[in-house]
Amino acid sequence: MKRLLQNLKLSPPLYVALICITTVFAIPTAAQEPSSLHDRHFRDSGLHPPGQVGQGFLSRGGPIPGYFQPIEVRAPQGTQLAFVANGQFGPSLLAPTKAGMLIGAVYRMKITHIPDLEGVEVFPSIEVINRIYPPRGLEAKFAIPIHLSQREIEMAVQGFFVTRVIYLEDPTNPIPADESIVRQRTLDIRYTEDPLHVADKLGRPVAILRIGSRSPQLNAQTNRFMFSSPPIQIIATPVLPNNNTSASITPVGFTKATSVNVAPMNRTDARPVSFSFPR
Amino acid sequence: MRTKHHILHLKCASLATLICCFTACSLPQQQLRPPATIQISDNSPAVPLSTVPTTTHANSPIQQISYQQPPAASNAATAVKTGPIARIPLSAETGGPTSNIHPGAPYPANWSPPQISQPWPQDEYVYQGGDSRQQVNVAPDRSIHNLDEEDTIVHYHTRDGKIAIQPTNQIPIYAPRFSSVRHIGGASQYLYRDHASAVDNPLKIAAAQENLGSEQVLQRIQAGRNISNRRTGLYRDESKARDVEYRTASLEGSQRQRPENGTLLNTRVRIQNSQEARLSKQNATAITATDEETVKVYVKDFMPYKVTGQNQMRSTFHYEIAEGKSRLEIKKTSSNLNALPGDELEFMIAFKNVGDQPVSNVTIVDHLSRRLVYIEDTQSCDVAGQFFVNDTVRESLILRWEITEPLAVGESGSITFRCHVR
Repeated sequence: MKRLLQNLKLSPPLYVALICITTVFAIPTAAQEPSSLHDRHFRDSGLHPPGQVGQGFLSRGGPIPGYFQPIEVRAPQGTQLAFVANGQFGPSLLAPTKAGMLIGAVYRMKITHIPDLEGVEVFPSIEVINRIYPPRGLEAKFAIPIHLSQREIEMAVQGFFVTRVIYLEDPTNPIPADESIVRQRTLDIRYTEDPLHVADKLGRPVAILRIGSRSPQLNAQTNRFMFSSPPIQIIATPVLPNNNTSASITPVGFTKATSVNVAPMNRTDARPVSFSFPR
Repeated sequence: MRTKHHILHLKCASLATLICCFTACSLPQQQLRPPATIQISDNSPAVPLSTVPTTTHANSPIQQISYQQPPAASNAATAVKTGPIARIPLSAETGGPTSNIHPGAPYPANWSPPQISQPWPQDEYVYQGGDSRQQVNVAPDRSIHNLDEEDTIVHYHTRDGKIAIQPTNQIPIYAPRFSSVRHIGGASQYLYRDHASAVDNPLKIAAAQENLGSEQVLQRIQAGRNISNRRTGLYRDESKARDVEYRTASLEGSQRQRPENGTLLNTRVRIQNSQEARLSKQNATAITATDEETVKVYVKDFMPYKVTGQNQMRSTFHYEIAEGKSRLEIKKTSSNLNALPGDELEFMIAFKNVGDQPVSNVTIVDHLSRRLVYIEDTQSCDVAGQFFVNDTVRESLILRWEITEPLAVGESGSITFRCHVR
């Protein structure tokens, strides 16, 4: 062995460097994925344990780590909810409430004062898996809405486990229906389907809501029920001023229309994209 | 013995390096960061601006968390139980923190991935105006083709009878809308995913294997003598081929026939082969034109390519194409560049004849996005015209204004209407 090393004439640092280079080149080769997984954005399942999808998304890069994505939690009128802060549930807040949540972390909530379910408490969790990019200063206004419907809370109390993936709609193919403030548009899927993959096809998944009837088993050492109390920011909900004013939209060089000098509106039948107007 | 220890140390160092490389490459980047800590100090009703980490880097631990309590007095007692929590000032307009404090880690304004232009991401915007996808065409019967959703155009007739199309500018409106997919199942078991926040206990070597030196060593013996390599005395003679390829010229003449008619080709003008066919055609046309069958129709600046018939010229039409250009400028603006579902937006389309000729049959067509619904009886136009609303099969609306009077040079008009954001 001695003669072998002497014949190779490799100094110890060079020998260590050779091992490191071999290791670095060997790892990407072993980490190659099958090509069948490339047609979807999320390899994880929406039914995986809380935190797995978001943690995996953090490795994608971009201004995601450390960003508090505002979330607006809406619930039936009169419902109170409390977020976990510093290892314990904070003060109860009247829904709707906005909070800034880290991407990849899981936040436990306590829902109380549920209408028609006095004395019942449910503890849903929210996992933010992606963020949105509103204009600077409008982050809180354009918070991701998460609705806790009365029906879902009742199902959770009855023993069901509801997993809801909130996604950003594709604006090029939106559903031509009004958005309801009280109820979020929801697509119910079959038991065998994956909500994350279905949402990934319809738009861009941003958050996962999980509601069950599990009673808290507080353990100060592991703090698992609280998901290690990730940092959170509670954002107050002020009354937004009505910014739909028609002032100052007239371009330079033009005057705003003042007189109505047109014929009455005439609604015609449905037409395809290529059409000929009636004369 | 010293060599054995040297080899042992070398092996230990290699093994430790190998383990470190695997550990560093297999752990995600976030897991190597120190865990975030919450410091909610007592007796601190307000946090000075200087203490808030406005320039928090992604890799640095979060030093302090701002926690805004609800303004309700009933919650004050509960807050006392959990301890006073720091507050941050909030903006009255946006609901978020003021300009000095960002709700999260700072990110560059208008950030977008490299080599991707703004606005980004596009799935958070609703666009209005322009001619983005298929190019809009207007047939002579004024039927419109390829009018996509979100397109806004104006088409008009110029003095020479042509139909001109001019799209408006494109307005990006930040209006994200969310929906959800729900899965209902039974909670049969509870899963929890643990992930390491840091690794501070590297593996130790459990046992060291002693490598003894070999008892037998094969000695390399030098060659006692060298075998000389002699060069060959014979060389292969590479002779060139004696036979030469015999190319026989074609006995027949060229198949290319020059045109028989015309005198130009009989001169000594050197004409390339590629030009002969064209010259032959033009020559034949010229001969035909100088025949008895003279030209019956003469169009200025156009050569006749086919002359038929034997009738004499009966009438002459003289067309005068007007000089100058017809140009219509059109702009579209919105009352707000961001909207939530349920908001109302007011759009304004302003147009002006900036050419040096009047234009007629001015028609403004606006294909609204499916996220926008026209509010009835909210449109107004300051020039005389007719307004129509057309439905489409995709439940989007097409607004159309037909200006009845021609638009003189320098004349302008404007249209306003309001929409409801779905």
